[in-house]
Amino acid sequence: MVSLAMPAAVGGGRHPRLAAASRHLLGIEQLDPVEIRRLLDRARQIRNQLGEHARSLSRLSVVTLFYEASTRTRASFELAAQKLGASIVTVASSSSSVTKGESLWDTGRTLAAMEPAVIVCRHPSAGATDLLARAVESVGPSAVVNAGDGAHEHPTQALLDALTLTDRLDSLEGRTVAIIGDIAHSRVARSNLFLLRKLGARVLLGGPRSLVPAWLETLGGEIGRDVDTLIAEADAVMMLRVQFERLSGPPPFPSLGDYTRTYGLTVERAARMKPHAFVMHPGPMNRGIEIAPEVADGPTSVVAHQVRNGIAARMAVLERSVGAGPWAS
Amino acid sequence: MRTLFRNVRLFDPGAGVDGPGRHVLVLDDRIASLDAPPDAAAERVVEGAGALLCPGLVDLRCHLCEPGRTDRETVATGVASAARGGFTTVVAMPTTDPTIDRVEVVETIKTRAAEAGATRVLPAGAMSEGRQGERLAEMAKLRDAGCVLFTDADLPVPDSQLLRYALETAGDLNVPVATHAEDVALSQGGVMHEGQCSIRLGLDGIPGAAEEVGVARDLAVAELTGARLHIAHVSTAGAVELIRQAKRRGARVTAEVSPLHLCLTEAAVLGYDPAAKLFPPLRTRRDVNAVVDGLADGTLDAVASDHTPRTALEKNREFDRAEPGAVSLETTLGVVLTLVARRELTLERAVHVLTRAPAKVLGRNDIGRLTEGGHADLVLIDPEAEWTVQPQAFGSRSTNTPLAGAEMRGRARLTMARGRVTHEMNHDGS
Repeated sequence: MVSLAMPAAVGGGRHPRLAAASRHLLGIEQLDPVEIRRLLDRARQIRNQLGEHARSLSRLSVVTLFYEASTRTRASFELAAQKLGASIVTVASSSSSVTKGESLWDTGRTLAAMEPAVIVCRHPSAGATDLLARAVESVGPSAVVNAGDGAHEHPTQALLDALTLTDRLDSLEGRTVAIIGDIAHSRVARSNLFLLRKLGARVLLGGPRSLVPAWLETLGGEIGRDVDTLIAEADAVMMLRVQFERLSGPPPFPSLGDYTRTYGLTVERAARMKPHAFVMHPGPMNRGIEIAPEVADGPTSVVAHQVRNGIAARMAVLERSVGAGPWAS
Repeated sequence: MRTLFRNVRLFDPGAGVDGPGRHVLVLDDRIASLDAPPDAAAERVVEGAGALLCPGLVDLRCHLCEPGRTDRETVATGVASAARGGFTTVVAMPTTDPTIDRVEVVETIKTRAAEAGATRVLPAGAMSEGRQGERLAEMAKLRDAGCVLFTDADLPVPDSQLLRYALETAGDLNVPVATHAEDVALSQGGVMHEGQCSIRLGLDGIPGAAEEVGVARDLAVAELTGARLHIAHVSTAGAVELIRQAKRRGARVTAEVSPLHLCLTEAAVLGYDPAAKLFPPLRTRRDVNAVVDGLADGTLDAVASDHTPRTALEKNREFDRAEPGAVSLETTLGVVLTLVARRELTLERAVHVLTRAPAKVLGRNDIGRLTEGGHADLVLIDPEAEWTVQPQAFGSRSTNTPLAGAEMRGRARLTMARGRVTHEMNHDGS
């Protein structure tokens, strides 16, 4: 294993306020319902006082380390960090040592040695943030926040989705959420499934059999093969895009037109939703494929609201990572 | 030089021998007597204290990485690892660079092996040129140079016609062909077993059917030719069943299983441990039970280590980018004897599948057995010894194993190859 020389003086006096309280957010799977509710409560609180909340990360730094292209998640994290008064360092994989072949392990140790309060990481490999957290722990106290690891988890997306859902539905207990599309390759679906089940919601999963494997039932989802039925039962319908970049081999369905016909949220299908039900989409959206433009922009869509909630949810997560706000001991 | 093994339980289940309280005399590189008097004159006396004296273990499948990848393993370190695991014969896979498709590479390996000591290193020749799956390698030349098996190692044969020609050609040369059975279209992109763990982890899966389609194809082609086929590292219940049925039909097929597929499931991957990334992948509990049952009832003929050294750099990375494989020469005997301790396998069968059975797959009767006048390839086994797997203490150059820290029962106390002690455990168990 690579050893990174570190002067004892640096190791001695690091972040006294972080030492005990800092913690990673690697996935929803590891969080208990109490902690999830605490994050959601704090996000609501922050949102209600936007502009006047404490700058609880002032004089701390947040590194965003993105190995995958991202528009909303990166901007959302950086705005969240900014609003909390943190300084932000952006590491894009295209302009860093990564292009020189540095391993994630070494990058993690190098960054950790600089002792940022938080490292926010997105990576195309499932489990990459677990590896990064181990690398970071071997050096210093920084917290690692998962901004999406391959097809595994995207915990802050699930938190902002839960915030959006509870804005409309109050409690999730006993509610029904349908997630439709490429579940197998979706970190959003996985994190949402974990979170919704922990908070007592029913989760219906729909989409092509090849992208919605039966194994998902072991995670608590209920698979329905008829999308029309799922849509009619749900209080909220979450549409996901097909992640063509994660598919290998021939396309798993005949054509995009065929996909839309069977699984897409067309105007006709959207009309079958319960009167109070609404439509979500984590983006990026493929309009006209999994969702009709009229539905995406229509009155039942809460997509813009999801994006707004993202900042508050991520502010709460950053506070938890450094032990600030309600997490200050 | 005379060595007397005093008070051993002579144990060669392939020959139906189980003789407690025996004394065995070795003269130079040969077994002089399997029933010597306890006071036979000898320069060295090894007190057996009731331990099992068995034929030296025979490994059908290990990757020694030399020439080409000596950062992973060399013939010398691989042989040291084999000796510590109780092996006196290993079949070296052509996963070398260059591959074993030319006589010069065979000669290099034989030279390295001779320098490394008395352990027999038997090269497996590539089945196809460059292991490209396009043209047959020059099998007659390779056999005459010393290749005992033809295989493209961890690559399935893409072309069924080529497999047919390989089986027919090797069959005429009386050398078995071993295949890695896999339908690569079904396994494409996969990095672990497809099932409840892969869905939880968000990793692309390799369904058991990918192996079963491969096994069914390979069996059908082998039965078409009537030649002998050996199926490497069987890992699924369905594959075991296909082989069982083929044997019932009288097909000339043999098969092996790796120790890790006998003891670990897909759950070892939870937490994204790259040490548990194997090829074929770790499967379900049902599959593990099926390969153990298949080994017990004879459907699977042998246990082969599938020793696959990988550097720390190749392993300590994102799971989907980490290299698959584990070093196993030093844990194979422990895993198999632990199955005996758990009463999942008889002691007779456990020793048989590591000695006479793999020798038979190779069609050899000079290894994997104890005969007076034969080579002194022996291992003294403490079946009750309890020990903990410590990869840092391995003789191998690499330490990649998901069994690090595992508790095992049963270990090689002393290994002797052609009359020379190649491994002897210290009193502290190291």
